[in-house]
Amino acid sequence: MAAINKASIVYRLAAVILLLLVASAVLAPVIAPYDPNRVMPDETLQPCSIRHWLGTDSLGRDVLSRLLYGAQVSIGFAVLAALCTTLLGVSLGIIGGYFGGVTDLLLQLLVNIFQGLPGMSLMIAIAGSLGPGSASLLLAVTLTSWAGFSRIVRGEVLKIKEESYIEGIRSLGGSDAYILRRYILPNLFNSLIILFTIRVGTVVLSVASLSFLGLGMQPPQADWGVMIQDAKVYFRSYPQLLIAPGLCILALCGSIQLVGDALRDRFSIRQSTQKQDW
Amino acid sequence: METIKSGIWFYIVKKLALVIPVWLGISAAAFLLGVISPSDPAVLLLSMDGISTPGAQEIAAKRHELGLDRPYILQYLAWLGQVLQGNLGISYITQQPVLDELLLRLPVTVTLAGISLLLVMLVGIPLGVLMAWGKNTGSDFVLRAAALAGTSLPSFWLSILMIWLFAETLQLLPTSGYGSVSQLILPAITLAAGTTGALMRLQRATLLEVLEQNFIFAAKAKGLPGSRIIWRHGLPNALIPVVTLLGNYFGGVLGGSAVIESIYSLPGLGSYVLEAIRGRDYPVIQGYVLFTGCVFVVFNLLVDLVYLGLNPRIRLGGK
Amino acid sequence: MDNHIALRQLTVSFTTKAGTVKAANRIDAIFPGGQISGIVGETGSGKSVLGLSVLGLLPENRIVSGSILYKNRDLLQLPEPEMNALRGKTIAFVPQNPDTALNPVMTVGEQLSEMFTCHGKANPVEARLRAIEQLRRYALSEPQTVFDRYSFQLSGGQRQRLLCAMGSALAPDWLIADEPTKGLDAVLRRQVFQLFQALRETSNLGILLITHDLRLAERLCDTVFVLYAGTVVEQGPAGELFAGPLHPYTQGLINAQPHKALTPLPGMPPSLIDLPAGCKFRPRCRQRTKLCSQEPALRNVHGRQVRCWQYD
Repeated sequence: MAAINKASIVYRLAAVILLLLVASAVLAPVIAPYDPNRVMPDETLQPCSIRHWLGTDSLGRDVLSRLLYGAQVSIGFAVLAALCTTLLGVSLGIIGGYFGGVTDLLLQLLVNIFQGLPGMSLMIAIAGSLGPGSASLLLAVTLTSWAGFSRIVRGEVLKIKEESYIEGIRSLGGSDAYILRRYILPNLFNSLIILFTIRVGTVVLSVASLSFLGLGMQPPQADWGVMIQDAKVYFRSYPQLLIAPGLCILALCGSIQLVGDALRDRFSIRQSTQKQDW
Repeated sequence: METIKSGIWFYIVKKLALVIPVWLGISAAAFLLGVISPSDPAVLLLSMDGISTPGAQEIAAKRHELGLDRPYILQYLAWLGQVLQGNLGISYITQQPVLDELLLRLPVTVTLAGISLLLVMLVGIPLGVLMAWGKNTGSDFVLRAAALAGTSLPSFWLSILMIWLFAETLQLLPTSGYGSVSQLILPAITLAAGTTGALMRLQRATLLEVLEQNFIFAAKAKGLPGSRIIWRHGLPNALIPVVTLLGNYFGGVLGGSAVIESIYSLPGLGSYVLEAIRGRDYPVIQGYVLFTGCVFVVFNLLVDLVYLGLNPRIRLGGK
Repeated sequence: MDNHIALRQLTVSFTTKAGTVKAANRIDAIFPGGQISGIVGETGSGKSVLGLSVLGLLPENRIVSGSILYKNRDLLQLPEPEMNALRGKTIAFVPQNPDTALNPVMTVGEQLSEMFTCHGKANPVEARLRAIEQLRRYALSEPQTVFDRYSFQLSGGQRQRLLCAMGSALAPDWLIADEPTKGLDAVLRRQVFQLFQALRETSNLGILLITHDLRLAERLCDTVFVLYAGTVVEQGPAGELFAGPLHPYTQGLINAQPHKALTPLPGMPPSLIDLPAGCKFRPRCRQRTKLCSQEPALRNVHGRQVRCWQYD
């Protein structure tokens, strides 16, 4: 029993951290002390002070403000990208799984093709070919991750379809649309929440990497990956320039994963072969 | 004997049959990258010297010469034809065949990925097992925290710290460059960190599920020692998802290594494509996608073969 | 040859989210060595729990009190390493569900020979030979080939025989068989019966047969314990018990069989979380009286023991 409580404390802490981060992202324009792109040439590379809680970077921009706006950029984009991936993956997964037949075979082929593409390679290539920026990032992320989603969704749909009560409803005259709406989608909901949450975390890391390489969010847009790239030269003397954005990514991804775990514990049905009956 | 052979062959043939459409898809993706790029290759080639600004007629002529005014399907087929003959195009910048450079750089990336994969396996699997065995004890929590950190930290951030710590401060390892094994240690560790964390968690979860099964209970009732139950009965049943993860990892590392290669100045595939992107060298980008796609496909096939070894049901054609 | 197992006031409960499940309530029983004792009851009567308690195989959420005596040792107090030394070697277990009781990715032969190697009885080479011999003894034809097979390649009957082979491999004093005929068709049930009969004839191991299969218990067991809602309601020699059951529950169980009156028992067994006060069978008993609001004690009647006010 004690172990369960320990774990749930951790999960609650993670949820709180996540909420704080999301709140900072949403409220950034309100709570940030400075404009993140405001260059203050007289105050470059300041250590932590009362004026600048986390100091300033090489261009004299306030680090705290950039972190807050960076949260907006990172979380906002990640949620958007995860939504696109989910929409695409779910619709194709449902169509393939529910309707079956030739459509399903074709879609499965498509999934196999897209899963055969090495993700990061393709993202780099797409971002590189189209030119950096959020639009090409969005395209890159969605194209490389929808297939995995679709596969899982299709599997779930197949499982639900097999349930005998679906047959019963159909024989009572239920239309496809009705079945989809009332039975398939609600049953998918739990798995989807989990998948969506995990995907947000993955996107944050991928985008940070791409931004670090200069292929993602472009300076002067405040993004944590970009901030780390900027800090590469100065951190030996001004460690907070490197530590702060890194810890933010750690906090965001870590809490997302823990929350995802907690959701999985709550919602998923384990299928283990029954051990013993009493 | 018949059943065994036909079971394996059927499986292999099925996997191979999938390779062709996947490969065609990859080639289409690579081709499309050239199509969607905002720059016009004709303009690029004509202004390669950095001075001349070609006129409209020159551009049109060059486009015709390069076959860019034909329908896309024809361009694709022509390009595909070239690819199948081993011609992945000529780099705009170096004017050398792309394939040659890719082949030259492949060993670097593969070695890096290989060492990294070894690290992931040798560290991730045992730690995952230990976490499952000592479920909810102190060591389990500590390891889970470490795994979480591994999967939540960006590799480039970790690299910077590790270079600072091990290379600059402690002077234990070189900071960059390629040539000796010691130069690959830090990059491999950094590259491995994220996936090791993921593997540990996956291994733990999978093993815990397996340990709930009836045959584990039966083994315990036989009076077998705990270590045998975990390592000989539990783990082999818990490896299949792990192998899938490792397979995906290796494929992903081919691209993900770009970051690491760039930080540690390793002359691999990743740094090649990054240079190409900076220089708008589209043939290289296309060749890169095609090449890494092929390697990925081949590696996935190898993973499927490993499944054969792990799951006797597939080998012997059972239900 | 004092191999008997004695349960003294054995009480087993499980803590769950829904409440405390009281699976076994102060059970006293003696299983004589060298004989076949049957523990009989419906699903949820707590009979499997008794078998698991003897070998210390209960899940983590258990609360156990009382004692289980074997050769002057209380098995419940044994430290785990000593308990593990007994498992398989001195007291062996034949688990439920042969389909899932075998490791799917390990050969059948290795699962058998590890009985020998892990208990230090043989090196791998000898173990293989002894295993093949054991397979032959349990009528698994072509034992050499079967040795290298996997469980999914065996039939249901073969799997059951294999489990018995594993259980008796080290010639233990006791074999605890948990629902050996559950889910099996008539042909397989007969095979299991023959297996156990052969065991009884060729060795003097004691068998604890946990089952809801009354016909099996009737034909195989020397002594039978009838369990209801975690309590023993009747126990005695099998022949007499089945010929003339005393407790209303036993009567009802026997009458419910297809080849008897096929009259089912009314109602359902009680929830083990909310056990009724007084006699646990009262809600379903046609012969209840005012006395039944108190729990009766176990009384000796005609060489048997019954827990019912009719015989008090």
